[in-house]
Amino acid sequence: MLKRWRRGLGWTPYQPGEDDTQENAPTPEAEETVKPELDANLSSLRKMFGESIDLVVRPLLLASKDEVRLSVVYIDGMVDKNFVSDFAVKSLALEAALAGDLDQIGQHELFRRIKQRALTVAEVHEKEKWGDLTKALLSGNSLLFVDGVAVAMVLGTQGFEHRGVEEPATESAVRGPREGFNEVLRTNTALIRRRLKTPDLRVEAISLGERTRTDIAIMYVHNLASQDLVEEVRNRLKRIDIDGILESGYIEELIEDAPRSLFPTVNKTERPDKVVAQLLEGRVAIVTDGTPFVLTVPLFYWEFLTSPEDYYDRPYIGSFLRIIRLVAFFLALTLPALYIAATTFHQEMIPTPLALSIAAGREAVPFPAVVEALLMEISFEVLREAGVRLPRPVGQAISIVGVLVVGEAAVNAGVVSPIMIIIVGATAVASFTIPQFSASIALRLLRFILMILGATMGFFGIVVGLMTLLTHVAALRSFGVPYLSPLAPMSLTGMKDVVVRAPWYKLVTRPRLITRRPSRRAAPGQEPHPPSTEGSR
Amino acid sequence: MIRIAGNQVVSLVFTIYTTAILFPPAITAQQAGNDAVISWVIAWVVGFSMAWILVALTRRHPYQTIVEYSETLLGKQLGKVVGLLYAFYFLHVAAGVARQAGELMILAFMPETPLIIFLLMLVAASAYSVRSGVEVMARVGEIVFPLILVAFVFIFAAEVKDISLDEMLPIFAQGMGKPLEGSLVPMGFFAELAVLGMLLPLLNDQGWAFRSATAVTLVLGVLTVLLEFLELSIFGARDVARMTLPPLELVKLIQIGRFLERVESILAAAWLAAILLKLTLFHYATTAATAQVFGIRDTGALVLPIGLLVVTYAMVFEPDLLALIDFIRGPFVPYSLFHGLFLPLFLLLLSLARRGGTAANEHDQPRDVHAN
Repeated sequence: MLKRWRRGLGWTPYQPGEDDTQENAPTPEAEETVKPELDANLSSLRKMFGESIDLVVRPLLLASKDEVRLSVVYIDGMVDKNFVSDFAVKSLALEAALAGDLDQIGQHELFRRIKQRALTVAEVHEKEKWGDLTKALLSGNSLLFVDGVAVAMVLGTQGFEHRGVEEPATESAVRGPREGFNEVLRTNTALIRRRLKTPDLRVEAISLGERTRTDIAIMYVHNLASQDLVEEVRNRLKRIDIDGILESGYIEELIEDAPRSLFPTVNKTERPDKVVAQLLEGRVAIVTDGTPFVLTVPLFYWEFLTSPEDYYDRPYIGSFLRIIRLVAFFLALTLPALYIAATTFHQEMIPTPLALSIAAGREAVPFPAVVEALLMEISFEVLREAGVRLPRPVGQAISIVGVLVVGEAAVNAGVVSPIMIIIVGATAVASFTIPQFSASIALRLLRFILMILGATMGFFGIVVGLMTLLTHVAALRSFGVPYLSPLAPMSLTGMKDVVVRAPWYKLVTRPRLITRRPSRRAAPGQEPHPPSTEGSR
Repeated sequence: MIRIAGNQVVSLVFTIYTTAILFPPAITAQQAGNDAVISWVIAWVVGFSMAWILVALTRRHPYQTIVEYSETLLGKQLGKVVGLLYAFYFLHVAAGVARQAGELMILAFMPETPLIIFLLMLVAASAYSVRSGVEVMARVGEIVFPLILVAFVFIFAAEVKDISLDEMLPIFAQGMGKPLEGSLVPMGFFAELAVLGMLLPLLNDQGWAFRSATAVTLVLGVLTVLLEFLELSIFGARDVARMTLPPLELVKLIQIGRFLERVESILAAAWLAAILLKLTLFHYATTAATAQVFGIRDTGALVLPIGLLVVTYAMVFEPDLLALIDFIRGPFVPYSLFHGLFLPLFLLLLSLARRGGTAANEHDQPRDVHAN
C-alpha cells in the first residue's frame, strides 16, 4: 500500500549517482598541498568553489627584473575591503621594491621578504594544505599565492557585517550590565575575557558541523573547573557528527545528559556577566559562532529561578524575589490543576462565600471544569504563540483583541466562567516570572498532565503526579552533578544561595559539587563593621 | 556502588509515621484510655532499643544488609529462610501501606472511586521511584521531610489553643497494666524500623549508623506522641476511642481567622506525599531483600513483579476497613515485633556468641529490651 503510494507520487529514494562523483573529482583533497604554479592553484580554487561569484581573485605583479606574479584571493562580503586594499594590495604593489631581485635571492627568500617587509597586515600565517586554506578563506581571511612558491599566506582580514553589542532580549535586569552577546564568536569571547582578566581563562577552539564548520569555543578557568569536567565537555563535543550547527540548541540536544526529559540540563544565557559568574564557580561555557546564546554546564535546577540581578541588589530583595519566583513556579505548574481538583472533588475546602460565587459564575457554563480549563489554557497558548510570531505592532493588536475582547465576550456569552479567566491569567503571569524562558517550557507541558490528573483523581492524582515528577527531576544529572543539588543531596553551605541569597561576605565557598573540593572564593569575615562600634561609647 | 548519607536515611525512614498515626491512636485510646500518650512513650523507648539492635548488628557486619548477615550468622539455608521472612515482611508492610492510603482516600475524600485505582496509581509511582534507585528516593525524601515537619508545626500552632490538659487526667487510673497493653500496637509500628537493616549498610560512612538510627527514632517518636497528645487533650480519650481516623478529625478543627478553614485536603496532600515515600521505601526493601536472597543481580527487573504482588496482596489480605483495623490490633503486633525486635535480637546474640563481645559496639543496647 505504502509502496504504491510512493510510486504513484513519483517518489524515488536518493541514490548517489554519477553526478556526485564527477563533481567531487577535480577538487583537491584536504590533505593535499599547494602546487608551485600559481595558475594551477587558482584554477583548482575556482573549481572547488564551483565558479561562485563571491570568490574574488586579484592578480598583482611584483615589480622587479623578472616580474613575479601574485594573487590575493578572498570572499566578497566576508572581508573588510578597505583593509584588504590598504594593507595587502597597496603594500604589495608599492612596497614590493623592498623585496629585491628574484634572480639574486631565489623564490623562497622572496616569499619571506614579502611576508616580513612588504605586508602590513597584523596577522599572517603560512599554510600549505588545501584543507586549512579553504577553512581560512571561508572564515573571512584572504589568501596570498606567489607564483613558484608551494606555500600560501593567510592574511587576517576578517570583517563582515554583524549586529552590534546590544541589550539582551531575553534576560533583562533592572540593575546590572546592559551588554548582551551578539552573533560573532570573537566578540562574545572578548566580552567574557574583558570581565575576567586572568591568563587562567582558557579558550579552546573546535569546529563542528561538516558543512557549516561552525566555530565553537570551550571556555573555562584553569584550576577552577575540574579537569574531568573539561575533558567530558570536550569528549561530548567531539562526538558530534552533523552537517550543520545553526544555533547552540543543536549542540545542547547532542550533549545533554537526559535527552528524553522535558527538563533542560544545559544552561543558556545571553548575558556575559552571567557566563563570567558561572565560570568563576568552576563551570564550563560553550560559545557558538552565529548565536548570542552561550551554553554553560553543569546546571542546577534552581538556577532557573535565579536572575543575575539577585546578586547585584541587596540580599533581602534578592531573597524575597527568589521566594516570589518559587511561589510563582508552583502556581504556574499547579494552579489550574488545583482549581479543577477543588471544584470537582474537594468543594468543601473552598470557603463558602467563594464557593457560592464560583458556582454562580459557572452556572451558565455548559462544560465541566476540566474542559473549560483545557479550553482556556490551550487558547491562551494559541494567543501567546500568535503574539510571538506576528510582527510586533500587530502582536499588540492580537493581544488586545484576543484577550480583552474575546475573553470578555466569552464570559458574557457564558462559554467560560470569570473565575477561570482569573485562574488562566494568574497562571500565565506566574509563568512569566521565571527568568529563564527554557525552564518554563517544561512547566507549560506538565501543567496539562497535572490538569488531567487533577480532573480524574483530585488532589490524590496531583500529589502522585508531583511526587513522580520530583522523582524524575531528582534522578536527573547534568554532567555528573545531581540536578537538584544543593537541595537534594542536601548541602548546608550550598543552601546559602538557593531559596535565599546570603550576602556576599557569607558566600565564602564555591558550590562544592562543581569544584569537587571545597574552594574559597572570598576571604571569610568580611562583614563590614562601622568603626564606631569598637572602643567608643 | 550506591551510597546514601545519614540525613537521607532519616528522611526516608521517618515516613513510617504515616500509617502509625492513622488507626493506632484510636486503638491505643480504647486500650489505655487517658494513658494512651504514655503507651506511645513506652513504645518509643522500645523503638530506640530496636533501632540500636540494628545499629549494633550493622557495626558488627558493616556494609551488610540484614538478609546478608543472617546468612553469615545462620548458614546458607537457614539464613535464606530468614531473608525470605524479611522480604515477605517488607512486602506485607508495603501492601498494608498502599491499602491504608487507599482506604483513607475512599473514607475521607473520594468514596466512589474503586480501591484498585488508588493502588495501581500508588504502586506505579513507587515502582518508578524504586527503578530510579535508592539514591534518588533519598533525594526525594530530603525534599519531602522538611515539608512534613512544617505541616506538623502548622498543625501544632493551629491547635495549641484548643489543648486542655484536664482531658488527660487522671493518669494511671487503672495502674501500669493499661498503658503497657496500649503500647503493644504502637510498638508494632516502631518495629517497622527493621527496614533500617536494609538502609544502614548503604550509608557512605558507617559511623553514621548510630546517629541516623537514633535521629529517625527520635523524629518518629516526636511525631506520633505529639499527635496522640493533641488528639487526647483536645477530644478526650473517650471520643478518640470512638473515631476511625482521629488525625483527620483533628485537622478538620483547624480554623485560622475566618478564611483559612477546612485545610484537611492540603494536609492530606502532604501526608500522601509521605505515605507514597513509605510505600516506595518498603517496595525497595522487598525488592532488595528478594534480590539478595536469590542472588539476583538485576534488581530492576524485580520491581514491577513485586509491585504487582503489592497491589494483589493489598487487595486480598483483608476484606474491608474493619478487618484491617482488627488486623492492626491483633496479629500485626506479634508479627511485626518478631521481625523488628526478636529476630534482630536473636541475630545480635548469635553474632556476639560467634565472635565474642569484643567488637566495637559501645552503643549496644540489648539489655534495655529486657528492662521494658
